[in-house]
Amino acid sequence: MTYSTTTPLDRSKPPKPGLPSKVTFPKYFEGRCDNGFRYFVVENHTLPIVTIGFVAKEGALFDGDLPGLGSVTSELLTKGTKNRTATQIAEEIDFVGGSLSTNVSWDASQAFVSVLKHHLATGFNILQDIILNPVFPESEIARVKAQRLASIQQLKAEPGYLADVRFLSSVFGGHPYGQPSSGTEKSIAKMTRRDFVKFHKTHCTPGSSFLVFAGDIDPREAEKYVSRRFARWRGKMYAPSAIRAASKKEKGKICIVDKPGAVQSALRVGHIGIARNSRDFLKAFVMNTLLGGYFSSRINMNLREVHGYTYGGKSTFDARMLPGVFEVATDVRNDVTSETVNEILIELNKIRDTLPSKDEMTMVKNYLAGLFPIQLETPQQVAGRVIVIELYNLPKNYYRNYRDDIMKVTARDIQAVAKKYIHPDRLSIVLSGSSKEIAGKLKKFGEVAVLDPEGNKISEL
Amino acid sequence: MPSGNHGTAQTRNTGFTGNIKVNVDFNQFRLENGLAVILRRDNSVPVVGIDICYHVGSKNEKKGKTGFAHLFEHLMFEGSEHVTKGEFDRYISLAGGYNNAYTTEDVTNYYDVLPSNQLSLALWLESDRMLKFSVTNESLSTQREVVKEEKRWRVDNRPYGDAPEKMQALIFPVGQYHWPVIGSMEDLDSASMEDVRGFYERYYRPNNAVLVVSGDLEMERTERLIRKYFSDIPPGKMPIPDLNFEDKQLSKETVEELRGLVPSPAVFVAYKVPPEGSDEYYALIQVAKVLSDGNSSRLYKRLLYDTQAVSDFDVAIEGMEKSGVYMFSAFAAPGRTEKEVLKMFDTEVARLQDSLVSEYEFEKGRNATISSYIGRLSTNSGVADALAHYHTFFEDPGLINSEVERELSVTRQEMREVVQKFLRNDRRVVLFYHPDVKE
Repeated sequence: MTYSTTTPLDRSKPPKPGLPSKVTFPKYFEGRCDNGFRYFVVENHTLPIVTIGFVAKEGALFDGDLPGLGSVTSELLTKGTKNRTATQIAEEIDFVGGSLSTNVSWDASQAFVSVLKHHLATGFNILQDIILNPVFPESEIARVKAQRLASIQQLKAEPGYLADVRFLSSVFGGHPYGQPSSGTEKSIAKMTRRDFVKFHKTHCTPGSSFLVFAGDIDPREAEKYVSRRFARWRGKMYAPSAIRAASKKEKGKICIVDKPGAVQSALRVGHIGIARNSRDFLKAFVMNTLLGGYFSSRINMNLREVHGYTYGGKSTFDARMLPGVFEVATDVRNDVTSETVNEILIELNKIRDTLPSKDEMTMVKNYLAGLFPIQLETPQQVAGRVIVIELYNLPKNYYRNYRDDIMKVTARDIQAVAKKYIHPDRLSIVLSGSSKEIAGKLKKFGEVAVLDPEGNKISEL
Repeated sequence: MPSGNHGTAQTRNTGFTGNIKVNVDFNQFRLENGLAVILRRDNSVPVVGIDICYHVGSKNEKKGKTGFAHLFEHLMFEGSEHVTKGEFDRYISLAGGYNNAYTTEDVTNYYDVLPSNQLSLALWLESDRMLKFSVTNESLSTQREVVKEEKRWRVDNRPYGDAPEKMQALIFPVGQYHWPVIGSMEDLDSASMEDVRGFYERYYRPNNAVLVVSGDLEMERTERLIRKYFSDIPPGKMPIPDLNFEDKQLSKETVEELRGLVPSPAVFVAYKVPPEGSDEYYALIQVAKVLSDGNSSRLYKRLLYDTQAVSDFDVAIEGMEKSGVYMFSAFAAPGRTEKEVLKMFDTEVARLQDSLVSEYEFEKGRNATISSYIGRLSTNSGVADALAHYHTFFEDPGLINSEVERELSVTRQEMREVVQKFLRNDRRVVLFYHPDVKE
């Protein structure tokens, strides 16, 4: 190997990148049983680990008048089946060093098990058992409910939680998206075994759900497992129940959830956003990234790096089956609270009113395109993308074209989606903080209501 | 100049027992300026993780000047000789990567994850900020505010947020582990440019750092690039001062009762235990598995399942370079008291002191060890971080392969012994939190 260090290195310019590697979204296998049940296999033998995900395509959106129903139902799946008690489930999975978890999002109820390859049979057996044979024992229901109530009480001391709950209710009103998906004290107290049994039976059927295997497994092996348990599973086919999108357009009041003595306010600003399967989603996603979706975004640069108001600020489109929330979120000290709201408004107007610069466009597109392979490092990450395709009925080649589609987005597209999906005249502004310190200066943005943690009005300014 | 002036060691370790064999191969060498380099190749995805770990943390600070190492971490992103303010993050974003850093009592660690064709960019950026001190007054004042905001967010505005630093101060009544990493507001306010520069000149030198690159790379080319960007960085002129680590053994249990804006009574317990890397430390890790790993663990069963005395609990072992801390925290369920919760915890500790864990629990803990060991190898950034950590603490990156053997060699007898010896009331501090009663 020869090289010379005689000429000093010119450090003035960044080195040019090498040739980019071709990034392809990994191929994966799709199988189907006669009863309509489908399964996917993301094969990757790098490490002797297998993760299996079960996904039912309906989630907290169907909580109805019992917010948190889907979430508690899902937690109870691991608390007893026809064949195993809660303790046996815990012992069995822990003994093989595996992990078992369930969760509910707005759009799905999911269960995941992850085990070393040679414990695959154990992992699969537990997973199929909690999905196909849960019994929701009364004693376990009482336990889970008590625990939920206690944890809600804990959460109500967190400024971020209080701000989130009030903000979502302000944005969505009575729509399901306006309720906390982890439940409220009232709804948790009301739930009964019948509610859980019904939720599971209705929203977890062969036609509406699928399995994803990821890691050290091939399709033939996966098929063996699936056909043994899920091929004979009977249940009503999937019929998506119609729930309308929320449609609130008017401006919300400025709400302060009062936390006397707080030295910082949790701040949320936003309105109804976009649906995940909208044709505009990718453009809106790029626009949001530029606005507040990564470290170098306008909002973070403005609030943190220029002004030093906060440790971090960000914006998000939480895109769901129906249009979810668009929000700007940050935590700021008392004496710069109204200044922060003002800067956020400036940024929201600016992205609508002016075209982003060429540099900004290049940076955000390169960032997203480059990040893509980094986010596909593990088979579990790839499986996560497969789940997104299936949940939102995206085209099968969605991620194969993803990078190209990102690179095609133009500055005009950004401005167009900003005008379409960001509405400074519809904003809800919610803070959780010390009203005594912050309320006065917020009046210039509109009427201010001071609320207690339950949402009852204490005063108005 | 021949490559590998200081010797290029090819390190190989075989995997552990049983039918699972996973092994991380790596090369290591040292540049003449003292920079340690570790390279690991894994071409499965076109990604590289770069990690630079400076062997400096809050324990290298002085009383009255706390929070420096962490404030400095923020300042390292504020520009360097050829990279203007704000450009560091921009370059990485433009390249399609992400980056961040963290500071502990012992180390300050910077990492970048990028598409592998952008490796030279990351090396250029990291070497530029190692080359020369370039912090401006403007950056110093902005980042001071950002860090103060971080402290408000992490500590001051969060229920129980002050518990970690209160416990740290009590369990290390003297010495370099006494103050929190984030420092105090007063010390942050008084941070001067001179202080900041001195800190850099002393600690941010190649001879006090390790560079790890893991991922889609070619060994020879990467070594060449690293020499290109890092060889001409001068080593530190100032010696790195001896730490003279101070600590005082606790002689009796410390108990503090606190009132505040918290939603429920809570208890925080910390025991002083041996540092990471010691045999006792590994035995204590296995003990923690029996106590709190998963829903079949002893504490889960007693506190959450059988009695429902708590809404949540946690056991954590923090391995630091000079000492370890074993922590238990729990939030009382409505109608329960923090004292009652502590009593239950103490009963479980006593049980571990009195009798050996069962063969079954022992086996379960070992299986969990094997699983978590393999799981950690799934990303390049995870591997790079582990290699840098093992080098910095022990000058033995090979621990990435062999540490699991040490955990697996712990016996049931040793587990009982460490509980008897270290999880003792006279080695611990206890904080009780009580909600302020509203009028």
